[in-house]
Amino acid sequence: MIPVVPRLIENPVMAVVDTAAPWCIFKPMIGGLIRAHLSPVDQNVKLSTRLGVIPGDLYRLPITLPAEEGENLEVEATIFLSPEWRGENFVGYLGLLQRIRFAVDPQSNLFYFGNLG
Amino acid sequence: MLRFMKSGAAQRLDLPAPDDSESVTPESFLADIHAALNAGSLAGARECAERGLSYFPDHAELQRLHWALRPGEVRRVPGPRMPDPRPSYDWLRKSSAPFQGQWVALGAGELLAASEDFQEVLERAREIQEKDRRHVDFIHFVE
Repeated sequence: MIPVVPRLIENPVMAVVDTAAPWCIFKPMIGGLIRAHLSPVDQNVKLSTRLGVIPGDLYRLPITLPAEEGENLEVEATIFLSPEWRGENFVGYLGLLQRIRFAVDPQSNLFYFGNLG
Repeated sequence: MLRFMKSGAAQRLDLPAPDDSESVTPESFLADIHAALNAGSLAGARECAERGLSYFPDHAELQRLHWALRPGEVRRVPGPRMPDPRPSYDWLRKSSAPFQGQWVALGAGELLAASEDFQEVLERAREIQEKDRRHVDFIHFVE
């Protein structure tokens, strides 16, 4: 898990890095604050998960990855929000990870990230 | 007949206009975009939006989706570096059990706020940052 800062929340929340997750996903209480300020890109999108098929909406939202060393990175991410989501917050592949370079060092438990260019 | 293009020139590739026998409508493109997103294919959705706009350039919803599905920008942002969050991770491991079902805000290994309501914890975290000038490492839900 890593801390990420969704725009409109402006404080870090912990999220699971999951290359198998297509979108970023946030818990309903976080999602509710985001939904109140944004229009969805698409509605009634079905997300197939290990918890079942969850209907939700897709949004576009900048998310900042705060850095302990180096520079913070802000990524315009695609996020999936659903009042029915019962899992953790996720940083997904299509939604964010494919837009950056990233690496995990399991020995030191560090998540490295940087711009593609 | 061969036509030679200047290297700096470009030719607009005009897609064939849909004929009456094709079931190409704005709605069919919108359905394809939605299907692509359902399948978890952002690139597929973008491509459908692009194609749809080439047929129906004035369609407002296709324009909206084409814009909304464009590749996201990534930029470095200035700001203070995040302090080492490991003391707060340690707190989660050792001390979070009594807060099961609650949101907690942590900073430098200390509990700053706790509530079942995320907004309450968020507001308290913002207050602490502004008034006390304390850093909040993160807000987390204790399962």
